[in-house]
Amino acid sequence: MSPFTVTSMSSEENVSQQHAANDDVWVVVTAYNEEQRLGQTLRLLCAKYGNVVVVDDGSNDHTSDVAVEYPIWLLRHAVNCGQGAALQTGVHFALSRGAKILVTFDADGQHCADEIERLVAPIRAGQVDVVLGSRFLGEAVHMPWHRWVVLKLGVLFTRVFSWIDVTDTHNGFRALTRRAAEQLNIRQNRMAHSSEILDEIARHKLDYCEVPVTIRYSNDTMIKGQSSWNALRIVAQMILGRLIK
Amino acid sequence: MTLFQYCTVFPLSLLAVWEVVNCLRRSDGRALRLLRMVTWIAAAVTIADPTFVTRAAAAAGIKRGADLVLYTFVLLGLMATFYFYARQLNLQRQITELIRHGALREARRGGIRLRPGGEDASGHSDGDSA
Repeated sequence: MSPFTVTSMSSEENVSQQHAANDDVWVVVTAYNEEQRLGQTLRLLCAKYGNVVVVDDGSNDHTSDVAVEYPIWLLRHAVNCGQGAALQTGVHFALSRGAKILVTFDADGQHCADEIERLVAPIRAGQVDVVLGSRFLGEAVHMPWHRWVVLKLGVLFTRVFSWIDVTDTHNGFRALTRRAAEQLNIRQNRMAHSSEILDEIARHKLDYCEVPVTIRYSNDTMIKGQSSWNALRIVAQMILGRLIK
Repeated sequence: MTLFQYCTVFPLSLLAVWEVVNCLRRSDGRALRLLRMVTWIAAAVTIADPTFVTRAAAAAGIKRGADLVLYTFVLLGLMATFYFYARQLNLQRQITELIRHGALREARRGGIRLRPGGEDASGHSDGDSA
């Protein structure tokens, strides 16, 4: 049985209604070796959103096989390029399919699909171009203290480096208007892309706001996620990336 | 001049002349040719006149000629590192574009095994457990 199945006619109608209501939203999910967690993430997303793009960033496991079970668009990088590169691929594809609102979403289940509605609300209201999720305004469940310290230092760095006032810098949960997505050019292939996006928001003078979101940490995500020491590499990549055009 | 000086200064001078000729003939990669030309000339002058480096170091406020050579190599090493990093980054961006192009061309729709009745291509119905 396919993992995404409709059990009754009323459920089917409900899903169709949800998809129709969210037809303007395209959710971009980047995944690298996420066969264990991707299914659950897509199950929740596909229940509400008909336009989901999964970019498999050259996974060595069965990530693509899991993704293709769901009614999503699957793009696959032939080799691992990094989350920033995968995100740009997904954004490029969504724009080519006429997306009006783009949401970036993590594959590992750290983000909550129910919160997308809240994330896109300011965009639908025409208030801003970019909505950034913030775990510090919302909730960070089981976040280790060292990660809290690193993220706070990241906020300080971003304020000095990019001149943008945000409370959470490396949150992959964000929403963009089509206009904003067209202007963003993510050149940082690896994890520095989050800082680069903030940099681009400031450079293009895009209107933005932050919305409280929930980020759930687990042992799995902490093992697979980036090390806190990686922050130093991100800083170096940002500085060098700005020097090398 | 010693035998060593004869053996090295002459080829180095030829290399410098060769770079000058290439510089005049071709417009591409002129900066790199100029850099190479300066390197050959500096090497030739240093070998031809061993006290030259010491005098240059003294003029620059550095005591020993060997220190001047060391500092120059450290700075050149840093510049070379940055240059190759920039080349590598640009190459990486080009490869990424290539991979992106392939991914976009081969985008496919998932969930195609589903049939309207909730039955997948293998014939299993919705009620089957995974």
